[in-house]
Amino acid sequence: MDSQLISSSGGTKVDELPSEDEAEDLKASNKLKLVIQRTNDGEKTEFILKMTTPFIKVFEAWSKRFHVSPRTQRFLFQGEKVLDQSTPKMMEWKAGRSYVIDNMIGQEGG
Amino acid sequence: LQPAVPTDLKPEQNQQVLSHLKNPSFVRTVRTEEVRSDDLSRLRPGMWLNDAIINTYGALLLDRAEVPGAPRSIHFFNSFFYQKLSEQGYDKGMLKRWTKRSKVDIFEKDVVLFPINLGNAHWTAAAINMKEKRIEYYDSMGDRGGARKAIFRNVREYLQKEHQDKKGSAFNLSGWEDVFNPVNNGSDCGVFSCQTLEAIARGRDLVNDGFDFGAKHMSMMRKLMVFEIAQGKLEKRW
Repeated sequence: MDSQLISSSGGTKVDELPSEDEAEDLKASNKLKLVIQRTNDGEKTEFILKMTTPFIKVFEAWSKRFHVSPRTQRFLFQGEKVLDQSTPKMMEWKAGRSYVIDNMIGQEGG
Repeated sequence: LQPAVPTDLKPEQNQQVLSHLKNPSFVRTVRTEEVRSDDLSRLRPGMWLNDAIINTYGALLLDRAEVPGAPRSIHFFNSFFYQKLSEQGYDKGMLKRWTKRSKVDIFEKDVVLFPINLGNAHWTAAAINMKEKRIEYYDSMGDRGGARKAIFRNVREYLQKEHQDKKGSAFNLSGWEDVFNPVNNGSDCGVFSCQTLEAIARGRDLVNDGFDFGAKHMSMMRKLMVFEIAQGKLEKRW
């Protein structure tokens, strides 16, 4: 399922905005929408999160869905790595909003 | 005469390094980067480094550059920056957002540093030297694959697009040089890349003054990196 992609111009925290109804529902339940965009094909997967849900839960669910080990995957928000133990609240995200995290595959070299 | 770079750590440091490497629950977080025991063990001799080590080292460079009296103002982009730039480009890769959250104006920095991963098999390093108007590229294997041409082109495009997005005007690239610094120490490209970025961040002009370390220092450097990551802070350089 594709999210409504409405780019926001200003602000540093908002990536995309859910529809008005959806936003209000989310806000009322103190939740937000997280979209993880897969690196190789751009496929988007949506999650509804509480403000205090550690991202590891989402990353594990996402990894399970795509049959990969979470330890081999990286997740970035606006270019910065999102740590497993971090939460939307710690990121200063806001309920009722929608955010996009980029999935990348861990790199190595010798 | 420059002070010689040591070829080993102090005995007590070596002991600490060993105990960190043996610790199965090792974890160290620096800014938004993290190294765990399986990442750390990649600093054992001969092992390939991964993005966790490389990017945590970059976070240590950023920390050091924020201390008052730091020799250079720097920005460090993690190893996914160049992957996004080369694979998706500035617009599709949404690279304009990479300096948004951190509110970084790259044009005000002395240098912008970033590691480059090539084909998930090789690490190199690049620096955008704003003061000297140079795009510098470093490869411990001497760029046998000829990657530098595309890298210089992509970085120039990045500078133009970022300037247009943040300043609303064209970036003047006239007088800018592409500098490939041919080094050939043949091994330990990940360690070499980290230490190249460290030397530039420290204020050393590698283009004119060359490197103060070489292949014979790589085994010490691996242990030094374990030590530095574990204490969450870079050691004072020679």
